[in-house]
Amino acid sequence: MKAKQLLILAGALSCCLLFAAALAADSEIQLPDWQGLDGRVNFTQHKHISGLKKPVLSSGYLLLEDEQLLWHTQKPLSSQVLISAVGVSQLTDGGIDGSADGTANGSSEAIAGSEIIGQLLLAVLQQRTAFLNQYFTLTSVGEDCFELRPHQPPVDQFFTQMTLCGDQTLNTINLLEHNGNRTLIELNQAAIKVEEEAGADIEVKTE
Amino acid sequence: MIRHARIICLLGVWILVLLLLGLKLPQVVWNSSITAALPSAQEPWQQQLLKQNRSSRQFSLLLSGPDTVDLQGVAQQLQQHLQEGVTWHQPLELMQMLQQQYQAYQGQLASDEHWDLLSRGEYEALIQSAWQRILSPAPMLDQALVLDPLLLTQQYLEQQSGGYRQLRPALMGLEGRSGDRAVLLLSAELAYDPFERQQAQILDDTLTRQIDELRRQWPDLQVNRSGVLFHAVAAAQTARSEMTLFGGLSALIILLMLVLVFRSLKPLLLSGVVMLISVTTGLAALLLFFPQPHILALVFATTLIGIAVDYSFHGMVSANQSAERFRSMLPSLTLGLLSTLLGYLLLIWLPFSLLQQVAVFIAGGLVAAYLSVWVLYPYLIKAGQLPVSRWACAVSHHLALRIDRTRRHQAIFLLLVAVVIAVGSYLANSVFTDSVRAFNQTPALLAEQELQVRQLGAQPWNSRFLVVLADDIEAVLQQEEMLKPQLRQWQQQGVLSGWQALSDRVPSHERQAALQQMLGQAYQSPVVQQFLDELGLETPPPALSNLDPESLQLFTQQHLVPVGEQLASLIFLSGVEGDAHVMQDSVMQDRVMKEELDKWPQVHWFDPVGDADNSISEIREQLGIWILLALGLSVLLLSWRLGPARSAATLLYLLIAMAGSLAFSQWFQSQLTLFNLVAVLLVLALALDYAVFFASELPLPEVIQAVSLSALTSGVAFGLLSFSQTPAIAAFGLTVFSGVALAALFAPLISCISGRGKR
Repeated sequence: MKAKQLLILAGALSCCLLFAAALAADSEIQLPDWQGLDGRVNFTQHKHISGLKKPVLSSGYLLLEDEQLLWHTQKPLSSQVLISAVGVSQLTDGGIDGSADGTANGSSEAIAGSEIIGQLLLAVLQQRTAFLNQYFTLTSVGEDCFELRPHQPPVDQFFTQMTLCGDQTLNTINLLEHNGNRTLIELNQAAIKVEEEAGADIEVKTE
Repeated sequence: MIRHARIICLLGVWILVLLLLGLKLPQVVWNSSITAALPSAQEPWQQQLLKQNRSSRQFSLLLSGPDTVDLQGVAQQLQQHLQEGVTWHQPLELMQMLQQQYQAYQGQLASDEHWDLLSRGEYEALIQSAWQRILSPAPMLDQALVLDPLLLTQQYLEQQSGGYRQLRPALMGLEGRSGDRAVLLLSAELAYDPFERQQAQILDDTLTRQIDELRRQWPDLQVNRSGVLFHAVAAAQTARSEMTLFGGLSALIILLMLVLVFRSLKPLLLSGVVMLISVTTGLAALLLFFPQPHILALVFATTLIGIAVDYSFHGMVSANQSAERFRSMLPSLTLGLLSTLLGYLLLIWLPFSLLQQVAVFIAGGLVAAYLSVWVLYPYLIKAGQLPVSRWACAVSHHLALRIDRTRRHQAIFLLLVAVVIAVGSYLANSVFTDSVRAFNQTPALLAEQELQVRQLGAQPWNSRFLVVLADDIEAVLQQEEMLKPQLRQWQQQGVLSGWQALSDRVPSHERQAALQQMLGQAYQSPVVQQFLDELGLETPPPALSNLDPESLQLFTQQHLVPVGEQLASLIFLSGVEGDAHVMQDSVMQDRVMKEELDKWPQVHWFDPVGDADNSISEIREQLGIWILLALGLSVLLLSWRLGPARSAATLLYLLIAMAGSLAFSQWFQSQLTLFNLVAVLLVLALALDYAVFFASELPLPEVIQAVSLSALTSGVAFGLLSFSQTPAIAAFGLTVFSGVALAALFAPLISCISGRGKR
């Protein structure tokens, strides 16, 4: 009788341990072993903004370094944003100098309150799992995609969820904001691929 | 019979004094801030602002450590344990609150830059700016493009900051990095005045205990403190320990002296009685006239001990000879009392609360000391009852002989030479500083911590403000908006580097309406219409209501202060560097800029520290005049009793003591302050006392004994004060010490000039 009871207890303990391990596995992000993004990465951004009938399409490239990211939109108009741990800074009086790596110049002023956004984007692109673990809960959705749900301020005040997809490298980032705005960012370290679906997206007529 | 009646009256009055103390003392709130004892601002609205200004209740804790330290966890624990009477600021919540408010009023708020573009019809620039914002990956306000297609309010919100430099709003406070260390700045406000010693001490002790516990867990954790609270606690601790130390040491040394001279404890008891009656009476007088006395008044009260002991020595020495000798001593004691009272009571007319308190304390105590000596000593001391030690008698007789041998012309010559040296040194070298910051000294560790907090830009605002006075909030906001171009101009000229006004957070209704009108025009323009068409947006409808300052309570209460029937709005300034009067010099002394500020009669320059410095300067000048007046009146009073020759000699002698003490203090301290001058008043009082007795017909050995004892005890008491860590107290002590020494040294020359008959 005693042996039977011990066996049942051992079985229960094992189940508990397995369950705990499963929980731990779920609560800690284990992103796939994607190839890291560095240097110049082309992007296409589709911004679905509430109130607009069509998404806003833009394209350009990212220049990724250790602690900062230059977001250079080339179409529909040239615009540069510097993203770092300090925040998101709109570069003013800037332009691309003649250098091959497209380094931007000009002054910048961080948007107040955007620090967490800057840290978030850097963490996602550079796969800083420690940061992501601090603010998100990971769920696997499909073969190559992971859904991250924020559980801590201030991230949870901006976004309801973030979806990351990719095969060998991170290919898409889908950000869903509380106000219903959605941003789809497609990344490509190859040549620029600009999708021009006729009449589907907003284009700016430059003067 | 009469003597018994006097004793009963004296004791009766003293019992009343004790009853008064018993009633008042438990309820009294002692002030320990030097700046609180300073003269108040001139204008009534300035006085109200100072009274209601809560900036002294703010304090900060800068947590720092390597990345291994969980600063958020540390912050959480600290905030949990320090809750009573403390409201912790949450910058992130503030920004979120701002966002929520602005969310509802999109299209009604715009930055100054966009306002200018809009007013000039430069719509292309606005559209370009809006496009850049749309294309940025950063999130936007809800319905931003529908309500405000040009994203003016979105960008207006993003320009709002808390005035922070290297730090950014985070969950528990402001976070950032300093070198390789992470930092987290916590800020809070006290519910009580930081000068309420008991509560402040409890908070400080609790904080220290918490930090010690947290350091056991995180040895690399560093906590820097900033705020008036910590300076007040340090100052109070210093004042308490110094009062105990100096008072105790003074008493001990006086005791030893009495035992050595009189070889008996009875003189100690007799002086103790006089000191007890005088100190309690002085304290009662202080509490009767000043409901919130300053603790520094008690520190200066050690001066009363010196003078009270002086009276008791004169009483003891003369009563010990005979009752008749005591009676013949009384006129000199009375003259000394009157001249001293005259000098101190003049202080009451100065608009300086601390000096008034000192004057009342000492005047009350002196009268009590005099009366207790007069009434009690003939009753308590019989002739020959106090044996004076042989060596004391020998020394005093020897000195008396030497003085007797000094010729009159020699004494006059010495006095003249000494007065030339003393007055000449003073006039040639004296440098007064009137900065209120010179009165107090922050402990080095605390000053360093304060600097580290400020370097991170957590408190970028100077202690000088512009104040807008108006009848209501709308008028205040309109005034501030009219002032903005001037502030920008001063910023470009480098007079200031930044500012924060209430109108930066919430524009006036007038401005909001004007923005709506300009936007209406903009939406009709072809280029903006094209922009709207590209986005597929309709022209937004005009706003139905305005953003009210009442919606942003947390921000309005930082700036708005009711003063009487008006409202005062504080505009915080930064980058007004260097001398406290730089901006004032730039604005006020430069006529063009002064005229520019004069265009706004409702806008005022407010510099509490600078005003205090100016007040100190005025008071010092007035005090100098009062001192000379007191000197003149005292000498006049003396001349009525002593005649012209002795009065003239007394005048020279007093100048030696007063000017000499200041010259010595200047040499030792490199600068003089108001408190050196206050000390000169006491030097005058003591020196007068010595002069009166040396000019009297009392036997010289007795006078020498009494004056020597008095000078030694005063020298000890005030010499100890010169070791105080508080510069104001140290200055006071040093001047009195040197003045008493000079007075005791030169006083015998008066008896040479007097041509005294009896020896």
